[in-house]
Amino acid sequence: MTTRLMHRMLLLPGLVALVVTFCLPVAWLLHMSFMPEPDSPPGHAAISFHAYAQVLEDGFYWWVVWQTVRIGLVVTCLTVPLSFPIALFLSRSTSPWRGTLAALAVAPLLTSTVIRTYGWMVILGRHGLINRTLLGLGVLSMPVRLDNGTFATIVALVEILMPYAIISILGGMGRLTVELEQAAALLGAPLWKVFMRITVPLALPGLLTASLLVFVLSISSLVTPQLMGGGRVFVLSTEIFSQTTQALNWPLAGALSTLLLALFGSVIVLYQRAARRLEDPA
Amino acid sequence: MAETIPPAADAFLHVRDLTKQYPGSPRPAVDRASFDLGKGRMLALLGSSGCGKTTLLRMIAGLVPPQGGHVMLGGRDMGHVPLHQRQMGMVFQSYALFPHMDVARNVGFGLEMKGMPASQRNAAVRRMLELTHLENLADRRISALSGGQQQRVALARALATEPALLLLDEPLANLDVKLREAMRAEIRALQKRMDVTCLFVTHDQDEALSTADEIAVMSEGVIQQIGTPQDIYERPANRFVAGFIGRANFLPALWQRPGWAEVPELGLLAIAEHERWQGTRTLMVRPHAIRVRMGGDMTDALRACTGHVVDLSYTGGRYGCQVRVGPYLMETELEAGTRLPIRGQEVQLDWPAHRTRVLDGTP
Repeated sequence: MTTRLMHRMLLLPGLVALVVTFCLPVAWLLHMSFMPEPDSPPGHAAISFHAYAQVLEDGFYWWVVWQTVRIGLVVTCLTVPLSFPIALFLSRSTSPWRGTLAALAVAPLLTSTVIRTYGWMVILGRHGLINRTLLGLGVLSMPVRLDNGTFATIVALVEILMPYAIISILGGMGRLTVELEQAAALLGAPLWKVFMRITVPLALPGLLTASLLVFVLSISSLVTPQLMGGGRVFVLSTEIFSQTTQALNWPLAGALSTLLLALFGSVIVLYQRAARRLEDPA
Repeated sequence: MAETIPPAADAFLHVRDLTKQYPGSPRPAVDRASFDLGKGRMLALLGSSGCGKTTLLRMIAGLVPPQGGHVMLGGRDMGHVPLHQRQMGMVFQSYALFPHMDVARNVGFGLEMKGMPASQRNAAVRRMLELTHLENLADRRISALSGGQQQRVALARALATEPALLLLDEPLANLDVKLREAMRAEIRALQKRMDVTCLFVTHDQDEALSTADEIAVMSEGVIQQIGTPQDIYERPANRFVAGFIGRANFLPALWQRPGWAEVPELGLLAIAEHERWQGTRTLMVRPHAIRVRMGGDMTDALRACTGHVVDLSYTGGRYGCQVRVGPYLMETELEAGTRLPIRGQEVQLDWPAHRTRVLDGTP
């Protein structure tokens, strides 16, 4: 009895922190989204669905949601396959450099996203590394626009999110051993069949976690679409940002944030369904 | 260096001078290992952990690239044959069963890779499952199987493709004693029934002696002796093999005259007439060859050594009896039910001259 009480007591600090830093702000956000328009006359109804009506009626916001999901999907579909070979290599390597290489793979996390985004601006810019090289080689006669747009946003997001993907894939490969692949090969499976029938299925939990993480991080990212988009990329996070800082329409920002939360929620539900399927395919 | 010996006429598996040295290791893990194995025969690679037996097996399987030597299977050089074309079935120590497939999918995997149509494959899988007494577990997940069942699945999977060579890496190491003995007999029966040539790695000498047609004893990367279980036990090639297989007594000896050797601080011992050597060598006597006599007549005094019982311990059906003879501690055996000496009692030990084996080197 006392030990059970003790166990519950141990949960308390975490619970308090969760309530204060997550539940209260979300509740406040929800409350905010039901506030009347900023310039509506005082004494109006305390609760208003105006912000939601505005989001649902305006085609622009539907387009923004679609943009957000599309960029998230493209980034996920690029990041996870690019990170998989690196994670495989790191998990297989027996070299004494393995630790160093693993640290290098996640080292980008040590620099701020802002810095890394600026790095990509230097590379992709009108007078950036790629354009200058291609012009110098005579491949191009005029610089092409690589920055300020969806392309640049996706490129930067992929690079920024790869360390997260690598770590998640590595963490989810527990059941995959070299011996299983060797066994499959000795049973007559050529390399690509070993990969498709053994390696990928057994790495699937990690791949799934990585996909979820990358998708969620990319649809919630603000700095990268803001800076790399050059004002041309409209996603939910940039819209929320401009509504809070420029339009000062906090109810609208609240409604958009709730929409983003709902998006997260549905992705997590999908993820959990898939994960349960993996654990028990029958 | 010895020149390469051509394969024996009836050799199905032919291994010559296989060598592997891991980087940073002072000596090769396997040093010029050579042997021939006839079709349908079973060879045990026996040695303590770290002796190189698993590395040798993995080189033959193609999982570890050798630095020298070659492997031929059924007259075909396996040097550049990729894993999936080697036609070898292997049971890993960890079993390496595919955790995301059920028992039947595991057993049928090799046949599926061969491109066998599903209907034919199902029949073949069912037959394999029957042979390994797994027919009721076809739909089970691997994680829902006991150790012994997993072992059977691994064996069924390795044999399903009817491989030219079956490789077993400590297949019984993870099973408890009772199960191990049952599985040992089952593996042997299955191997004979399917007439598959088989190589298995073990550190358990009882397993090797009771199961294999031939045993290769390995130590420090070198095959010390290859022979039938009887050869290895009765006629060990050197001090290492004699000490590794079974229990034995070792005495230093100088050759005296035909039929006699002198053991320092003990006196003359009878040996076979044909033995002859210079310097000090080692005499080996198995404990069960020694007769322990109490207060008997001393007619055979020359051949017997006299000592005192140091310890007596029951080992199930028989007693182990340690006797100090001069500076030497001799292991002997007594049948339960015979008259037993007590600790400190004076006894005479004697054994027929032909049971004394002369080995190179000092004990």
